[in-house]
Amino acid sequence: MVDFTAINPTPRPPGELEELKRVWATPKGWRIVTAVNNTVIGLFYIGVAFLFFLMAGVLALLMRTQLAVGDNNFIGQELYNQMFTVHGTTMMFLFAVPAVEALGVMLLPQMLAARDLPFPRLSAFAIWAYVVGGLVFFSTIFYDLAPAGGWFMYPPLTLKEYSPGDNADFWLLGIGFIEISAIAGAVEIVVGTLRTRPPGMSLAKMPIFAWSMLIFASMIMFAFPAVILATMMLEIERSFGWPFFTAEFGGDSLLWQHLFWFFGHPEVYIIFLPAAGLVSMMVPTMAQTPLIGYRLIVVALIATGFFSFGLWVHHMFTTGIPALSLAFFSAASMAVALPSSIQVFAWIATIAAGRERFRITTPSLFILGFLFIFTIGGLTGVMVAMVPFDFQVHDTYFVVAHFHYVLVGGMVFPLFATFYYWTPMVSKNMLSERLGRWVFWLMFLGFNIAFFPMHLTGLLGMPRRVWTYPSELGWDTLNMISTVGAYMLGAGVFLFVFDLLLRFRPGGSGPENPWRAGTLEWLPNDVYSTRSIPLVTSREPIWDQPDLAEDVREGRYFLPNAPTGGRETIVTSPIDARPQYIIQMPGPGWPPLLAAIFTAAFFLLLTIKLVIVAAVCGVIAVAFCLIWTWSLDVGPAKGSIDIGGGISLPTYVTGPTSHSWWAMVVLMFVAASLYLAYVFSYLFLWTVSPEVWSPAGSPALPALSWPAASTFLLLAGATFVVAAGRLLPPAGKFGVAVPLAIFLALACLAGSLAIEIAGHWRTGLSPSANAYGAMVYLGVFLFGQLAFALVIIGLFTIARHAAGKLDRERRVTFDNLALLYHYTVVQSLLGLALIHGFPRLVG
Amino acid sequence: MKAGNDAGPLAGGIFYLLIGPVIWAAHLLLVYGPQSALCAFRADGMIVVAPFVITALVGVLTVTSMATLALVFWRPRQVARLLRFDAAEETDRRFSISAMRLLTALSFAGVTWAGAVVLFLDPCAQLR
Repeated sequence: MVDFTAINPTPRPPGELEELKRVWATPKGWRIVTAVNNTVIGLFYIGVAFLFFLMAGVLALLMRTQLAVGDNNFIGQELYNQMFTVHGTTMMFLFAVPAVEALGVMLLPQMLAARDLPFPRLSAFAIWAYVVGGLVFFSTIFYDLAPAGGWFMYPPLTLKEYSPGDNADFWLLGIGFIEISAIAGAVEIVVGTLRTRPPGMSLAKMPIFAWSMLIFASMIMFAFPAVILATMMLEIERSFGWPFFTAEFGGDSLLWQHLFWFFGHPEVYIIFLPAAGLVSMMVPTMAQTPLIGYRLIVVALIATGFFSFGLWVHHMFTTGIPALSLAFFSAASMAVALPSSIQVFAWIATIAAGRERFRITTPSLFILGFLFIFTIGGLTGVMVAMVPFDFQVHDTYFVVAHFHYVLVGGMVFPLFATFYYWTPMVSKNMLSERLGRWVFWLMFLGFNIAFFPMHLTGLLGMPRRVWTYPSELGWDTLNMISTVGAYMLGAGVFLFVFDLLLRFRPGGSGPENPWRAGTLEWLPNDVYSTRSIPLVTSREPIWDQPDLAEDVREGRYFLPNAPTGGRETIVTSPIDARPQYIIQMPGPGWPPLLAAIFTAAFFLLLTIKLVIVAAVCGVIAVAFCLIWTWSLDVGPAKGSIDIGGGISLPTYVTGPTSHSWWAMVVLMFVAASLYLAYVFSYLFLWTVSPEVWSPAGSPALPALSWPAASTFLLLAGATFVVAAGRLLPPAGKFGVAVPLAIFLALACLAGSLAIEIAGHWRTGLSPSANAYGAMVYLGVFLFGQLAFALVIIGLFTIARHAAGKLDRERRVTFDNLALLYHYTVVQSLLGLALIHGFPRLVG
Repeated sequence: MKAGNDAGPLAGGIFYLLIGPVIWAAHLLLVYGPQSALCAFRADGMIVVAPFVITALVGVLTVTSMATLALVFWRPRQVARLLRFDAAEETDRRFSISAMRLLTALSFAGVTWAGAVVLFLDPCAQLR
């Protein structure tokens, strides 16, 4: 298959390297905030995530100080409730997920020898949205506006009656918004991993970290929509009184738990899998031998990711669900230990089989610490997967100990190993090995001293989330030990920050491949990533091709220059990594930053009910998104270019080969997941409260002519979109039929939506009457969201056609519109069948 | 290396790799959904089915899923053909077959583990 016949002649033409440097230059001074290079924004991203880790860590220390002795009054009850809520929320949503996503943004292009991820401005948008939204959310703790309902915000406690004020809304809108940022990052990672690998790097040769990030991003696509829907429903109930979770009106607070944990349990693996991927990259280097059981580890990653979606009910063992149902999930919870343990055994085997004695460096210490701590967390996980045991320790400190062993062991320790291991890739200096050992031992001992006793305090009956406890219960000594351990752990982190300030100097790479690793991120790097993009023939190319680094540096491989005069990288086929085309990427710019700031402002101002100002910010955010996307879809003007090795590639493609088409398909999966969560919610509430369903408990459904009219308009709209695609004129021509067809398609969509609303409204159905009404109008709301997005994209498409930027050849914008439109039609038809068909079927 | 424009049968490839876990997920959904709904309806008096019907339903679904998984494990090339998936290189083909089989074996364990509980528990009993 590989018939790579020629490498580029050397020496390369003069000025080629300088051109690359100019094209990929990082903006200077304060303009650095407009940068989109993955190394720059990846560093911002990880830096801010680490800042949140420190701030949430300080909250943890304050809580441990409060709990050190019984009957303590250091922190009041209300502030303590806010602290544990903000601590958990920050660690999960603002530190753990963003930190691993940041590592994906920063490391993936380097590991794949790509110049950047395929949508650099989307990455920049996601990061700035997270920074602004996250900082505002965290700051609520300083002015008594922080939520106090725990990181999982269970209703009915978080309903308006029991949590008045805006505190809970900050969680719901702030976190909902940050989840959107995470999804944007996931789109980038899925498409980047599958489409920007170097020639020859088939899936079977892909670095394990790339596999883990691919699975991580896929899990975000399917898990996050459930909690986005849940937060949307709770916020709507709090603001407008639609009773999704109020039992009196047919709602059920258990629905929140189902939706939250359908996200929340996979979330644990969303955090753990990338960390495991990082460990699978570092262990072979330290053992100087290929990873034992590569194939098994890939299988384990996929299986863990998949099975993690079948465990959510194990967080609900004590809610009164029938025993047999619990047993299904108990079995699944124990079964997931199998793939997790495959990875642990593979790492141990690699360490044992090393060509050299396993090198005990600071990253190695953190990896060994991770193995020890995570294994204990896994074992206690199997314990709490057993229903009778879980009944005893539910909501006690045993569970606090268990999940900290899993999360800190499974994510924080590998993250610190990562900091030490990959620092030379982005900093002129390595971090100190001597201080690193102090950091490790302080953190390792501190962690175990802090959290191991919590197993015992839990078994002795100490509940979670109590701000104090009576001294005579015998918990004082164990709590004091935990507090001492927490401060030791904090001292370790403090020492790390000190070392970081002392030595970390970004903006250039340090010693070249100091650990003697075998993967591509250790090739000579600069702002443009590698000078040329190598042909990959094995999983550890640097070990197997001794001259690779030199050949890459000299430009002997693919794309050693910037032939289009702009930023570009090679797109390859998703399975075999055969070169397909050159993607032309945008450079630095203000629009992603400004769009992110105004999007954050929109959500946060809504929280404090400044609706008009929020709407203005929303409009400005959309305007900046349009300005940003106006410069994309550059068209085929550059023709084909020679990338070396006798390969000539087009610089523009459309349809299913295009990375843009892929991104839209990923987005459609996200939308479909959200809609499936809605269908589940509808059926769940019907199971719980069939008495409020139409026709017995609510007004009769509209006559069938109403949904029939909606269906007709949807199908007519889809036909107009197909017609518009066929009518696109050749380049340089303007066809009035195209805007007309798009406009008619949008009108059909709006008409269909209007008919659906009017039909229900005329029957007298109110969304606040009961859970049935709320679910019917929520379906309409979800349809309306898509219709709103389509109207904006449709008008944008018309404008591009009018400006001569869209025709039969240059049609990526139109293809995306068509894809989303057809998806909306399918979803809406399903919705009509559910809303109008189901009650008739069961009534 | 030749430039190539075929995107590869990715959808078939993904489904091929994941067919075991997909059957596992379908089994979990099909046993949990109807069982919990029928138990809820029994409690409400809306639809009253005999407990052995629920037990039999779970049992039949479990045995069917196990048989399907065994078949998939036994005939990987036929499944690949059915899904129109074929890797271009022999190493990739071997990789995908063994990964699919391992995932199927894990899924078989998961289905057996979950389905076996029906032998020991009353289908609608509450623990509290």
